[in-house]
Amino acid sequence: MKEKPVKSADIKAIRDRWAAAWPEAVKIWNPYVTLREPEWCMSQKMAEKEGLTGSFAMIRLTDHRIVIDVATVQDYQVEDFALQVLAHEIGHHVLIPANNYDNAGLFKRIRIALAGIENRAPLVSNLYSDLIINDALQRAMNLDMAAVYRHLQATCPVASKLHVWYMRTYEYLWGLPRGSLSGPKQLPQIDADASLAAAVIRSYARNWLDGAGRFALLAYPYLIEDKEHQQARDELSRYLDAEKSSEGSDIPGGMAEIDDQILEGIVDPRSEAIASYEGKGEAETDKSDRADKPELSKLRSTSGGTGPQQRYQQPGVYIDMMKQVDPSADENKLVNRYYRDIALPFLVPFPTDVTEPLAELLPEGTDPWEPGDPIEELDWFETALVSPVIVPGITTRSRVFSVDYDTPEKEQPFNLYVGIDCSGSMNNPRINFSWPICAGTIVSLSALRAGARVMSCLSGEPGLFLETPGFIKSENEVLTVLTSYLGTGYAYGIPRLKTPHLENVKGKTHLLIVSDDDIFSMLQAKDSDGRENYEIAENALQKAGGGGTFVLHSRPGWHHGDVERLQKMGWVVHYVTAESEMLEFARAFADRFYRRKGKKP
Amino acid sequence: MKKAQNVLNVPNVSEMIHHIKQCPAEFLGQPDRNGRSGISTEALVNDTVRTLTADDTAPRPIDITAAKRSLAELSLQQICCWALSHPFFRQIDDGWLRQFFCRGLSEVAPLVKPEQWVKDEERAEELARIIFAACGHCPGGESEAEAADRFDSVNTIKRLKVIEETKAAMERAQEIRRQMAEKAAREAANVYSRE
Repeated sequence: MKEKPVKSADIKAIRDRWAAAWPEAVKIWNPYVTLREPEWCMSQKMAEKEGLTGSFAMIRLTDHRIVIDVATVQDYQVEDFALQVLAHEIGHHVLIPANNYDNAGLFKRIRIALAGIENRAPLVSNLYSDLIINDALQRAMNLDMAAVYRHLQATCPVASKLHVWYMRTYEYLWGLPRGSLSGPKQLPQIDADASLAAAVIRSYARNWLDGAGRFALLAYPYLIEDKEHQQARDELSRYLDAEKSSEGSDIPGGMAEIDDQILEGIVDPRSEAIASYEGKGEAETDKSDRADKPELSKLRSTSGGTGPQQRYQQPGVYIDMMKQVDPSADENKLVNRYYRDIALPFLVPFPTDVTEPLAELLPEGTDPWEPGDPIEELDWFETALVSPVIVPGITTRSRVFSVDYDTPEKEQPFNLYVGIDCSGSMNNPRINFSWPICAGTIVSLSALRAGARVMSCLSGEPGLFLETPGFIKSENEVLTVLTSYLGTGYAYGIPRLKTPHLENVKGKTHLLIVSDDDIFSMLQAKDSDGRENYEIAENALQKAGGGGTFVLHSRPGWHHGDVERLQKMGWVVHYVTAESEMLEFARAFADRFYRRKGKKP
Repeated sequence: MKKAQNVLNVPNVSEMIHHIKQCPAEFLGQPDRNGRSGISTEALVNDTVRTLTADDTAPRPIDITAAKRSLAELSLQQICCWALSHPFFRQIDDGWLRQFFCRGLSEVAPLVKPEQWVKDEERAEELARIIFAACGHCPGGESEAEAADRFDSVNTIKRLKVIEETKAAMERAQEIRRQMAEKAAREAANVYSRE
């Protein structure tokens, strides 16, 4: 009890010393860096509240803050290393990962490399970032980071192979004696891997995103076993300051795509080294550059490329990744973002208004003409009307003109009703990429972009359905319905077209229904009054007034009589024999209906 | 030929690395292996040996048989000629030079791109330590054990031998990774596929 106030006074003194070191730490990177002073947590309880556990410091990219647990600083006795610790944390903000976008990109690369053990990505990402920052501070900015590690490692058990390898990498980078950080458990393989890791850190110090895959592949063998991984985590927990740095952030775009550059960086440096060894005598050629690089298409298939041109991750993998980047991310928003990112290249361009002057200039009264004004602006007629005696600057007048613009007649784009079959035969779009949902996203977003209203409806009947509250303009609500999943019934429920929203819709509406062969059983089904659903389809089409299209995953010629009946009503039936053809359909549909405002079919 | 060593001031590794990285572009030119065009490595090596042995008129002290050596080795020999221009090497015994130029570089040279010796910090350190080990001196400020351990750390030949020896383990890890990736891709493709 007596010691506590003394400790708290110590903590305050440490906080003051660290606060005093802050401006200098900023200056190490750049005096123009504008970061707020860290949040000082005076107790571990406060630190836990901020999400800081295990380590004594962490960063948040969401509000560009650094959090320091002063009590743990004292526990680890690192109070004399304020400059190094603060400069390191600033490095996370200015060098790596620096922002949410690059942080997610880093996770993406590391996860592809860590196939099957993707849950280790935050750990590997943190270790890689620390190496890049510390090496820059130690070598380029002459800050003695080795002293901090020597101090911390003196009291830390080094038993796991990952830990030995990681610390041995620092020894390589900074020319420290063997075992000074990595302890006595040395193995030739770890030594060789650490030397390769040091080379990766040096080579990719600037383009660090490109080196992440190589680094993760070096770490891979030390992380396969759960026990090894857990042991390494426990031992390294004091260094983990950026694992959750993007928590609570906005979802960065473009993360669903796996581009070629990423796949090219998923190379094991050991294979590169062996390739250069086997290419003895040919070092002057670029043999090592060609080392063991599998073809991109092979890499794409093993890393689960899907969607247009197999360029995207599966939505389930994407959601898992983004939840690692930001554990508090909302799954609905993530899946919306996923389909939106894929649809973006296929949307119609934003509509533009073209205005043309009706008449070049319209006369609009007069102003005084003064000596010095252009002589051609002098209006002699108006001047003579003021006075027959001309006094420059007094009686002289000039004509004022204004430009009149045409207000062209604006055509209203058709509203869009998108009904998608979400019966048991459809993919869950949250786990696997779904072509119908991708197509629905493209047409819906194009319609919204053109200024139309959209109503989306998922239906798997008999069973469940989910629809937006009428025709709306909210992209998020439309996508939330489309990307949900029901998995009930056998087809799209035609009775959904009896919705009051279609009865009272303002403006013409186009009905788009995406389903398969089973829709004909649904159309033939009868309601309690003995009327076929065909009648509902016909009535809805008439009320909508903007035409209707059935997109069926089927073959032309099947259900010939039923198709003819639909066509007589005015429905257009479009067949796709492979789901991927829906992309081309959606593109053409959006182009036909929504490129330029109100273009009619 | 033995020179006085009582005031020998051995440079430390950092100094040698700095010296190696200052290598002029002329030493990095394409070696002339067939007597057509490029730098005559043989002439360069012999000039270096003449300078270090202080015997300016010695007729071709070393025959390096350029035609039999790889371009990488000849390039490394040229870089070594620059490295040996450090004043320290004029103060020490020169008996090691013949062995060094004829046999000392043939194994490591093909493993590293020539420009890496002067661009990459670690390779420059390795070259400095190769030269120190060949001339039988420890870098300034290091004990024999420290120098040997550090040389081990940057030794390309040893590193590659370890990687070769552990190739089976590496390939096993790669195979596990490949199988895991394929399994995940397969599951994703099949589990929820259409009826």
